[in-house]
Amino acid sequence: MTGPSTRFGHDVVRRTVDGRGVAVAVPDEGDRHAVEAILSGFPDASARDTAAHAPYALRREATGLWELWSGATRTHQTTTLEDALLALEWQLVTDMLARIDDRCHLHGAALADPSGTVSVLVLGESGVGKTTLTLALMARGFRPFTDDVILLDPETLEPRTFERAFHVDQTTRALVDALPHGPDWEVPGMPDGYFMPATWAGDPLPVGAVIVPKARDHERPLLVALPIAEAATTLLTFSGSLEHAPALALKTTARLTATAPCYALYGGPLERTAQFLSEAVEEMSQRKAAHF
Amino acid sequence: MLHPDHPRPSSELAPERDPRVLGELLADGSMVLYHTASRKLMTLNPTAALVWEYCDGLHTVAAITDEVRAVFPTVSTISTDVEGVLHDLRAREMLRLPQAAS
Repeated sequence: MTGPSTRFGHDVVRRTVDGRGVAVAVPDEGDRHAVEAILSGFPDASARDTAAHAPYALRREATGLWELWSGATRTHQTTTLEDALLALEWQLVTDMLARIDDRCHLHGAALADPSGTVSVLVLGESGVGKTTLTLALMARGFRPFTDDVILLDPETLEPRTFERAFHVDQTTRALVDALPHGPDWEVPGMPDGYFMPATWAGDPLPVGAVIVPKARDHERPLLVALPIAEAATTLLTFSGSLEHAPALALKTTARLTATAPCYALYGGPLERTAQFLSEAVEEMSQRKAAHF
Repeated sequence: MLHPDHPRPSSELAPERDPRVLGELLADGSMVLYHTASRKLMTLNPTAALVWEYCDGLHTVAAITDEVRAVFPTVSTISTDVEGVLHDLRAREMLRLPQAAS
């Protein structure tokens, strides 16, 4: 079978993802606008930047199915554009993460506190409420480094901004819409299920705390400090680097658990939980500021 | 704690860390181990971490026990504790512990 790289010479979305040029051929104009929107957090790239790497392609077939290609390999076939976009984004990020061996990858969100003193990592499996909590904290002045892929500098232990669009399902959106100051969802051209923050954290900040949401049914939110060994196991459980760069993941974990406390969060109603966590982080931030 | 039915390692054997296991000491003296082949994680308390450090293929079980006893002279269960740690390490395949000759 012929790969898409020989079929498409134009109508290409070019972005720089983690320093590498990425080209995505999308012949359908409507589909292309959707791809441009979900990748709009990543800087533009030139044709020259992307020439060295096999392009991706997303195309709608005569059968009505969408196909995603990576070079000459068809990686996904979907029945909806939404699923095709998910597959494309997943493939781009997965390929990017597979190349990284100089930073530690954690599955979770990272935010800068409102004063810009410390960062907070929120780790957890998909569906545990990371994005919901992240959006609720953003409504209280926190700024995101990332919603899903934390890239930690192993020397400074600081997260870096990764401007990937948030995935926001209907449940999350309904919960966040009930907050007094929810986000402005209306981002021009953004497909349903995605959200692009207007501002990001920017400069790296030291990690003030690691939060691991455990439950959302507590009347009064509660933070429980984890012993260092349990914190280390938790961090490694959510490490995307452990398999391919285990020594780096272990050393980074040891240093991070020595400098930043790790808490299990037993959350309650979203607004109350966000307020509680916001106040707890503010205290940490003040202690950190006083320390320096 | 070593199960009463579990065969005790001979005190003359010298357990050795599996070279595929990476260990990292944590700030409180505990340790996290990662087996790169089985991808299993294991945490060790400070005493177990000390035992792990002596699993170099040179120290016998008896020698390891002596070393640990020197650090914790007032603990009366050192011998059982060391055997329990070695049992756990071996059960998680973090260790090479030669079988005693029959």
